[in-house]
Amino acid sequence: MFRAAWKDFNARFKNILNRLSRHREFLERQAALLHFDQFQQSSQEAHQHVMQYQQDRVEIIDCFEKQEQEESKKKFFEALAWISGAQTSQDHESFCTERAKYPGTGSWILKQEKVHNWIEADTPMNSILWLNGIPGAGKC
Amino acid sequence: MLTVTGKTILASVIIEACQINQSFGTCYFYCKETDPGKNDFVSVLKGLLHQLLVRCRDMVPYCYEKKLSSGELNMASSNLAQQLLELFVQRIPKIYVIIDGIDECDITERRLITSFFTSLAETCDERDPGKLRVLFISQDYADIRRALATASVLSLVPSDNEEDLKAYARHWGQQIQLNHGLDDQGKEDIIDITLARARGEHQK
Repeated sequence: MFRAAWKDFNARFKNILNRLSRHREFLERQAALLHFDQFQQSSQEAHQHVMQYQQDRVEIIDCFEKQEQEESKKKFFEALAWISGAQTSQDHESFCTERAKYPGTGSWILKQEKVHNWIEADTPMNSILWLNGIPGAGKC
Repeated sequence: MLTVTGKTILASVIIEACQINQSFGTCYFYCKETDPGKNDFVSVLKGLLHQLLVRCRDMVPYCYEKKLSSGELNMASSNLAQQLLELFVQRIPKIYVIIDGIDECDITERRLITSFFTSLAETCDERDPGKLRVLFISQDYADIRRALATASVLSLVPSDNEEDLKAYARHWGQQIQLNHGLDDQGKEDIIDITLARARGEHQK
């Protein structure tokens, strides 16, 4: 009784499977056709879309970086203004300019042992050096 | 006539030599008695901070925040300036600080200057000897001598810069000869006078 029912079921089941299989093939063929027609067109669109996106991305990053730089520069100048340090570099430049009129002047100081050690040694004898003596004459 | 043989000129020579060394950050300050922006402790700190910030841009955000929270247009607090300087010194691997003319500041101010920097250098030396190197240039005053008792000292004497004085005198001799059409003897006389005068001034 069961075997008969099973055979029957099996046959019918196989039948259904076959039909499903053919249906599936048909759908696949249809889908493939449709897909192919549209494929060419949408491929191009997709490609353009990607290109545009890449370009936009580069521009946005560029713009953002520029903004950051502007911000950063602004903060730099504001911080510097707040510190309001005296213009000591101008003093330095004027001394150097004056000295340039007499080439080699003052260079003997760099050969003094203690000065040389303080500047050049990997580990100086003393991190602190005091240079005294010779009153500066004739200040301008 | 700006003499080029004073200590300040020597400071400029040393500063230039330091700046050549790329592995160090170099900052400096020339004190000036007659300039209220250049004759006290806070001025020295601010002058140095200016240079350090220019060199060390990644400290900008931090300094900017400090500016905002201070609510000041110009930094006035000595404590804040000290803190900032200590921070810069931590961040910069190796640094030369040259301060010229501390005798141009009054006695209280120069005490603050020497005390702050000697203490900072000592702290740095504990971890990394020679990371922070400080050079003070000044007249030989008793209070400064006491304050810098632990420092290495180089006392300059007039004969040290004899060659420079001669070059200076020769230069002026030549200038005057050119401008006034002197003969060579006249030029030599000028050189002798200039030299004597320069030596005399240096002995004051």
